[in-house]
Amino acid sequence: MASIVGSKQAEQLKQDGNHYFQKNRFGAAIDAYTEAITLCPNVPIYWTNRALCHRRRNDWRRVEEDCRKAIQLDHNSVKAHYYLGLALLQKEQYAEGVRELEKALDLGRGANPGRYIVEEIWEELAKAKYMEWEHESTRRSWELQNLKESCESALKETHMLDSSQTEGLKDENSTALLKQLEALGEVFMKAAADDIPTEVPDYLCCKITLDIFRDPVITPSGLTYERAVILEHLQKVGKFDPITREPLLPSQLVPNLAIKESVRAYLDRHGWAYRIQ
Amino acid sequence: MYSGAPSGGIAIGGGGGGRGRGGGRTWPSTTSVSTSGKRIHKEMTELSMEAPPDCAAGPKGDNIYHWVATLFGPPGTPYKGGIFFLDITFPSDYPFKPPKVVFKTRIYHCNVDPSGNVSLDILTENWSPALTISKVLLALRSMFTNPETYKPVVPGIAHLYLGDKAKHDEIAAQWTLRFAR
Repeated sequence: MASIVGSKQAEQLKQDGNHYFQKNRFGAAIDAYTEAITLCPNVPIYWTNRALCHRRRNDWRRVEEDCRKAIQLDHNSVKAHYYLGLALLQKEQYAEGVRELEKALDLGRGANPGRYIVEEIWEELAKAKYMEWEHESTRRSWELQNLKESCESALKETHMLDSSQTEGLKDENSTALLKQLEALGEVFMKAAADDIPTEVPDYLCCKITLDIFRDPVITPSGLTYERAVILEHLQKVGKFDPITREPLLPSQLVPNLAIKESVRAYLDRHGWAYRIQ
Repeated sequence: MYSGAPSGGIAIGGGGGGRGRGGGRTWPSTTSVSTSGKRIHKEMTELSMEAPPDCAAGPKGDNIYHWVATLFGPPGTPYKGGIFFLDITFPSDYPFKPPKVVFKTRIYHCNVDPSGNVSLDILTENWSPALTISKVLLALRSMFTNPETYKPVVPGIAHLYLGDKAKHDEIAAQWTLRFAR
């Protein structure tokens, strides 16, 4: 009996907390959620709601604590994984943060692919990945540049040694050197090619979003679309495949795992493609 | 930046910054605005790299939902030598709704009404979100060469086209000279 009263009271406290939150009174909201947690410590939403308040106050250590607790209670909590991911990224625990965001994204998509939070998590994930790419690609290009310079001076030195030994063949030797330097330049250009932003190939882009696939699904016509937008199309425009105009029902959509893998492989090599306009 | 509300569990709805759908019909949801904005941006970039032949299109000003397009009357048609300006307006739930296309230059054509409204099936009942402005421009271009005379908005022009094409072409060429140069 006491616990029923307690949980009712806790629920009321949560409502109060939500109310304060919406008025940006995060301190008051935290107090309300804290009381709710004291009464009913096993409700994950109380923890994630409090975590969101800490997030708004940039108190990332507490965000992490509350999220870890929420995950203990419900390891499928989208928000707990999401905020925990953000907190870890703040701590520069990059790989762990990305892993949590990916987990949140998978869980969020499973529940409802069109939810705003899925889009939001994707953006945070893309931002983190893009920053990682920026960081890594700068390092790579610096290393390549150094290596290229060393190779060039090595070639020039060999050339000097050669021409001091074989007299009269100077012209021939310098043409050979120029050719080698040119070839070297090409090799290094190829090595850097993946890090140069270009267009994502069409076959990795949805014909509706015109953007790289995130959660691709295939229709019975064999065409692949982004899940959230094809669902929106079926709901808003009509029950047909946007390209072939064949009849199409939401239940006929099947995840296209091959494209999903290709996208993942492409993004691993071309991190710049995470850039969101 | 972030405006989501805490989880409601039971009672609380969308809460936050008007993210919920279905409330006021006139207010597009945040998600759809960002979807349409992104998609329009993509189309802009693609068009700037390779526009269909004899066409150009791009935003009028700062608002990317309002574009202006230019079509050059194709050779071999009474519209040749003409430059036709069109207004393109994207709805907030683009590409799930078609863009609205209006001729700003007067044209003698059985599929364009006197106010410049175009009747093109892909802009109404046959719209598909897989279509792009680039494809719409191509369709408009082929409308110059092949008017759709079965479902004209100006039946008189269609009749003349079918009955006396020479006369039709003469008038169309006159209009092109008068309004589209």
